[in-house]
Amino acid sequence: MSDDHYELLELSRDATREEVERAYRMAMATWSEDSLAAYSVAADDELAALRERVEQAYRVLVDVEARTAYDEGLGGPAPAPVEEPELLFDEEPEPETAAELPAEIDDFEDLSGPDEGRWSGAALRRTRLARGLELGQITEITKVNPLYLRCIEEERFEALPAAVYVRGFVAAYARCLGLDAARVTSDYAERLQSARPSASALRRPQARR
Amino acid sequence: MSAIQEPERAARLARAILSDVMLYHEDAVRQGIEADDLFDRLAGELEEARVYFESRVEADVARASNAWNRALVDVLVFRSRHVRSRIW
Repeated sequence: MSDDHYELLELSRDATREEVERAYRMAMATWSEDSLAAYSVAADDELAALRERVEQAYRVLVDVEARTAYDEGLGGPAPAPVEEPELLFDEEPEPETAAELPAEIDDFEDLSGPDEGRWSGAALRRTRLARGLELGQITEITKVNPLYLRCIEEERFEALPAAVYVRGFVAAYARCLGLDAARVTSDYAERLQSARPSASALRRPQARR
Repeated sequence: MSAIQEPERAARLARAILSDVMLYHEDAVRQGIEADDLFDRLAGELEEARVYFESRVEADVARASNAWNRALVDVLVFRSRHVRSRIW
């Protein structure tokens, strides 16, 4: 597996953000657990490692500052300036705190009422709509069954599979929307656990002290 | 709340909203196409969806782009073209 982010995503050094987004989606689809292409060439843990590596490369290459630093680390001639076409997503990915959330997401949180800034199924749906994404498109990218995505949005917890799977679905969905997957998953986990107290597996393991 | 000002984003939003209407009311959409009373049958849902759309899009952009009406046809009608109906 290449250590070079560009090689991994099969991109040239001057790839635009749009090309990075496209390459990322293609790579994630190629290395998804149910990908026929990947089925015979890698075990599940290898696929997970590949996806993690793709995710890592993507995070660097879509972030202008991180990408500049990475390019400098690679040495060689400086790449051409990265063109910034219309973004696939409307806001910067992965807002870390409520104060940093883009205005559009703040609006959703306001609309979420009882959620009070916590990510819920309804907030995910509003965010998806604001990005002009249909549920089918989320499925194409994440490979998560659309019925499960609907259940996540509607918070029909009883219809969802074991918590450990839900965690993966929610994380994939959040990443697809350009959100902080850890934060969204954590918020959603609380809601799931309230409804299904036995769903503790959704929570991240506590760090050892 | 910053309203959408780009026609393309407005069109994407309209399609996404109406795709949800179709997904969440699959049977009603099919029956509405079959009986050619789609807009009466789903009047409440479509009105709610339109209000949401208009709350998110600059009024001039919504009007000039005709995004909502285009999406009604592109999503609800065109995607139901496999349904037997006297419409076709």
